Amino acid sequence: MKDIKKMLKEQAQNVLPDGRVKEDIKRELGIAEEKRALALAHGGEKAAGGRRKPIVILAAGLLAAVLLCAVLLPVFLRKKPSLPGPSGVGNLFAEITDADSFYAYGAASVGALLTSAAEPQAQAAPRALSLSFPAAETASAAEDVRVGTVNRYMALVEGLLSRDSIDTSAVASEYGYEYGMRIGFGSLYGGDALYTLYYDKIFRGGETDGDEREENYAIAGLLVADGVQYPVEGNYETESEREGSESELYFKAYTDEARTSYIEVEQEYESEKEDGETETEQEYVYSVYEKGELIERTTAEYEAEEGELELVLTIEKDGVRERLKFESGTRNGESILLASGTIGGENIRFTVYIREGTYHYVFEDGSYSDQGRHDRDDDDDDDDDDDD
Amino acid sequence: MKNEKLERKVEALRQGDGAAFDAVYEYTHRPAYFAALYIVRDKMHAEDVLQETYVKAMRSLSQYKAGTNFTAWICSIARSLALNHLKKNRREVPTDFDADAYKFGTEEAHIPYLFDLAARVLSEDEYEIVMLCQISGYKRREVAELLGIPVGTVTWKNNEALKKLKRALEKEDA
Repeated sequence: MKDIKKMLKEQAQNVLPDGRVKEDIKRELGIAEEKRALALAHGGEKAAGGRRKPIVILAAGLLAAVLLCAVLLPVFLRKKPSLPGPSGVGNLFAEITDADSFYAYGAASVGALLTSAAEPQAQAAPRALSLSFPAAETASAAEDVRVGTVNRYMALVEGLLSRDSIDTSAVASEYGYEYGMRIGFGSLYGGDALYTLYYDKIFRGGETDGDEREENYAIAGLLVADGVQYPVEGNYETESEREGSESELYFKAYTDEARTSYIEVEQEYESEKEDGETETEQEYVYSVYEKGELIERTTAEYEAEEGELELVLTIEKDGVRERLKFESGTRNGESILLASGTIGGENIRFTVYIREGTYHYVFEDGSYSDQGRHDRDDDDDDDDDDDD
Repeated sequence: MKNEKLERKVEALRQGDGAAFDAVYEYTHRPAYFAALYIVRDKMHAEDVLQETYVKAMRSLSQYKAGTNFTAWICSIARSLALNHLKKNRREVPTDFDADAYKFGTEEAHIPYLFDLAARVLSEDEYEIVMLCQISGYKRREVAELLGIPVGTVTWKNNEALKKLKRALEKEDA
């Protein structure tokens, strides 16, 4: 894949349109002439303008620099890397910098999805008396589907929005694998979801050539999530050079013996250096396959808006796209998630109260719903009903 | 450039501020160019179409409905003009222009083989996404905004298209 990208980039200049096209368009539209005519009409202005230009550019540059400092310094001074943002949100993705951290993240996030998926809907706390989205006439079955869609991702959302980073520790190897790793994935209620990964590392190559560095190693193993074992495999391949880096990473957990059904997480990462600045874009794409067919795809990414980090999930299923933004916070001492986005083509906004064993959804119109939440770090599997 | 900023520049152009043209062109010309190139498969023809596109678009700017995705609008003009261009050339050169234009000398400026292959094996949206992500230097987020589709779709289609292109290249090499 990298070869293709490289080949395309190498030949880009032979394909991209000539810069003269723009000038031709402007000429045809009379845009360039308009400026020239203006300059000449002011007599001498053209020459004076020529002298003034460097001064104007310098002044503009200085002004831009001052403005940039004014805007960016407070942000940099306030924000320390890998610490939670103002709203308590930590950018977990920033901590994923090498193969081990990627596999740990893959295991934790896929584990969260697997345990959520395995949670039978029947275990969910009894539905509230009424649940209605702003379109009140919508059938409750459809509403259930919507809440169910969100609910399946809540463990992942909690993990990604938790203040805690992914915690890993080595454990004794088992099941014939060479390594064992216990992974804690934070939750907003407190406590960690724990997953264990037993695996073999397969070194597939790596080299350093001047500024270029390549690294590729795969894993094969077993993920134990909530007592259930899932065969896993993954690949970590990165290539970095002075101008930036590229990587292709995936982690896959199989959910059937034939290995045609699985959840896969792929990291999409781009880092580019331009004018001395590094621009990084990172997102994680989850694909759910059943019997070889893609049935659902979700992209998780952080978005910085007005100085606050939000988690954005884009879920694509049955040709429909749902987009939800989550921001964590507290209300009356309780951990909450503020969510907004579109579900079923409707704009919705709701608050999720994270409680022991329950996600309590409260919608803008006051209606609410309780859904099962996988208990973490304890053995309490009772579904004691808390009436809200 | 965010779409809102683009909209402001377009509005400025509409109000007669010619200085806004550079920003509008720089942000939107590559999607328009690749929309045309996918159809005409020739760099020089695609550049001609690009020029026609902007001239036509700027002269009929009043027809653009603000806030409805200017890039998509300009791409639709580029596609339409590219198809006209192709029809005109078909009339002039009675041959299988689609598949083997270069064999018949109807292409004046060759595009590299890989790009020709990409145009043949990828769907229009896959082609456009690959060209914008890999060639034009846009971030996936920007491509998503330009094309009015989710970032996840851009990522997915970009990856699938690259895989498809790789397979096609291997097949051709074999």
